[in-house]
Amino acid sequence: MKYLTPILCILLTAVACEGASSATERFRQYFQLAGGRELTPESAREALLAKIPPGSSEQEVYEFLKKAGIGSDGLSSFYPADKDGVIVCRIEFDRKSPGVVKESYGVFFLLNEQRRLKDVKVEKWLTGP
Amino acid sequence: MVAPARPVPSSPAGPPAQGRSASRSASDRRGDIEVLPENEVFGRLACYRPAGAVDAPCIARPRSHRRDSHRGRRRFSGQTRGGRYSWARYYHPGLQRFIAEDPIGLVAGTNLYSYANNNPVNFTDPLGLCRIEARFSHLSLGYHHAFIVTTDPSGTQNYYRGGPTAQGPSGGSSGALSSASSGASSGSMTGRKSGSNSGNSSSPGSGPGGPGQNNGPWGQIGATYGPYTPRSVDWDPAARSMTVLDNNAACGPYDARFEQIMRDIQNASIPYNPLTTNSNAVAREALERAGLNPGRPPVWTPGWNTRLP
Repeated sequence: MKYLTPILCILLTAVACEGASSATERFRQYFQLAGGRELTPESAREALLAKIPPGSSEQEVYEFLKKAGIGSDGLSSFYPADKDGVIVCRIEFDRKSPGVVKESYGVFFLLNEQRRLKDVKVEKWLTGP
Repeated sequence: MVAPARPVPSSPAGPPAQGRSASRSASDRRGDIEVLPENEVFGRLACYRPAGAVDAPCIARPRSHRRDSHRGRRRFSGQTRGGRYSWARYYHPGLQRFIAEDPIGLVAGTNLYSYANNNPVNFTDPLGLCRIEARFSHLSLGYHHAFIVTTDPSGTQNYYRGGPTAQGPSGGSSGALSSASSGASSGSMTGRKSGSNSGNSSSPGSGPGGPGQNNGPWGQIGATYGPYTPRSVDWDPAARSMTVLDNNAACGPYDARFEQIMRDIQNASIPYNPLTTNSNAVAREALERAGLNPGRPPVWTPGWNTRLP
């Protein structure tokens, strides 16, 4: 009985998982991050800043995201800089991905007063029923 | 959102029941308030205006209603006689006040009986002001994740949600980011807050209390809240919604209440279970503790009926 819930959940979701990709896999694909290294918010930040260095213009950040395919597959999106100068990139969970609990990511591109990239922050989110 | 108590005649909902006097009914402009003949509710009562003049009809109650989950607006059924009603309070159009206490208690103000902040002229707003919704994100296989969104008159939105703090038995792959959060510390980019002083970030496979604590594969429930923007974890413009409250009060008191409830749930350190003590249970619990009727979700939300300890 103790294990019934996890087993049921695994079985229920396993049937619809084929061909699905987790948000983590897509995170790597979008930003072309190597699979060998474990991703942490800090390592993801470093990898992203290596590709879009600090000082890049706001427009360059948008181009970077478009080139990465963000917003083109229905499972990711980005929002222009808000009043705080933060460009929000969201990598959503795939409904077909395995697991009852879904993972998704928020990537935040912080702009300075000159509207140039200052820093990047990455957060992983968990969502369940 | 409630129009002032100025009943206008409308046609009766049906023929008068046998043995009753011929009934008249009236409703306000939106149909929120239905005025019933006095003997419909309390039998043949004398009805008095504030000045003491006998007048009828005098007692009104909201029509039984159902939610329009798509447009976020309330609709009202035609069933008005002896019918059920959800969060209804009896309203006295002559006194222009409710005759039962506000179910939310003192949260919405010190006057538990007031209507439209005692200023129905200035506060009439047929479009509704503070709106509280339960929203439902589709996760997989028809099951949904519920969270609460409040929208105040200025359009400012806040969310309240629960979630796991670990990814469960299928999570924890080597490729996953090692620091996940269902609710983040107050310093997060999302502006989220949780009730815990330490936040509830965690690593997959372990609960927020660390590996030494047995919180189950999904960790504990992380209850969080904050501004509802694209930065929010649950940002989903396509999410289905169910309007729980749409009234003329400011959202502030409700937001304060929800924040306290989230803190209480967070500090209760409740193990997360996808089928029982989960985010849906958090949403329902928060609505109930705020004195609102959680209603029945339009989608499958496992755990909705689970009460949290």
